[in-house]
Amino acid sequence: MQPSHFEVLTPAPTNLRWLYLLALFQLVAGPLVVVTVLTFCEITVREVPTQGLTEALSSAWHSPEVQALIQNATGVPVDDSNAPLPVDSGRQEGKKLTWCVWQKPAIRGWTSPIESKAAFTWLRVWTPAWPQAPPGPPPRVA
Amino acid sequence: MSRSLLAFIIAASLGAVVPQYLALGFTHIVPHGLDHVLFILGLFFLARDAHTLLLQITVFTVAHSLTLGLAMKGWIAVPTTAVEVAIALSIAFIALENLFQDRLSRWRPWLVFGFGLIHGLGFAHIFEEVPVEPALLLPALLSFNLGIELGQIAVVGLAFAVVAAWWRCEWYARFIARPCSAMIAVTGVYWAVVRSL
Repeated sequence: MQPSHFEVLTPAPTNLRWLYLLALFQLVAGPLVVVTVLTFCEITVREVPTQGLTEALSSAWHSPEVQALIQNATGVPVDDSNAPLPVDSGRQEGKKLTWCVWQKPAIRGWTSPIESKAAFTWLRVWTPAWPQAPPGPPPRVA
Repeated sequence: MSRSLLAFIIAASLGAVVPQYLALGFTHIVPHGLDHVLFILGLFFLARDAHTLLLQITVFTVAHSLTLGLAMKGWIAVPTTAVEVAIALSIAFIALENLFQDRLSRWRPWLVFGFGLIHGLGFAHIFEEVPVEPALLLPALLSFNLGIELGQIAVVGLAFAVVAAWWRCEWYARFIARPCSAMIAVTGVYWAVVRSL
């Protein structure tokens, strides 16, 4: 419902929370970006004489200092290209998953067609018990 | 020179530099940076909720900090006149868009990011006017940046306190946001013409 023409609304607490976040982002984001850019530039300038511009830019971007700053700023590691694959704690080499157990999704009022009896009225199951079944393939010879 | 004496000198220099550049950054927005104030108000008048405002202002902050850092390292050098004209045009463009858009468009954050890059170059020109020792560049730059952010927060906070109470009123766009945006647009165009002459 829209407020009347001359009704003055007080700022909602949610908006004040957003405003507080805005101030926080301002004060954190600006200096973080500046420090990251300065570090990136310093590393690039240091590496240019030995590696050339393109390689220097690349090595500066992948340097641990810049990656750490970006990770601090965003919370997400940017350079994952050379990182090892994450180790799955629930799985060991050559063993089954210990924590992952398949369970049917519990959907109320739904039964899978395999489970429902009605499905089997038209589905012909291919088993040797079928009287007119053709012979199976010959055994494999090694 | 003993290490304690060196530490004392560095601390004293930092103590002098940080407030100086913090004040320089803040006063560059309020009261000297009317163009930046109008740009921020241009962003403000599109918003009718706080997260739209948060997104735009944060994108602007990231962008101008990026070019401020790059310009300080000498990687970007753009003539002052060109930057000033571009800043005026960015103000006019943002305000004109407010006249035709009621909500945050998909391209608006990218637009704000691009204009923020230009405004960062303007901040860099101000920073370069006051000489600073190379050893104190980083604290000076960070203080200057923090001062700018505090100035922006002051502008947004004041506008929020004055206007945000009517954000949800149906007449807000007609009687407050659009007339203010129109005035900002006219000022931006005027500055663009004056600065390019």
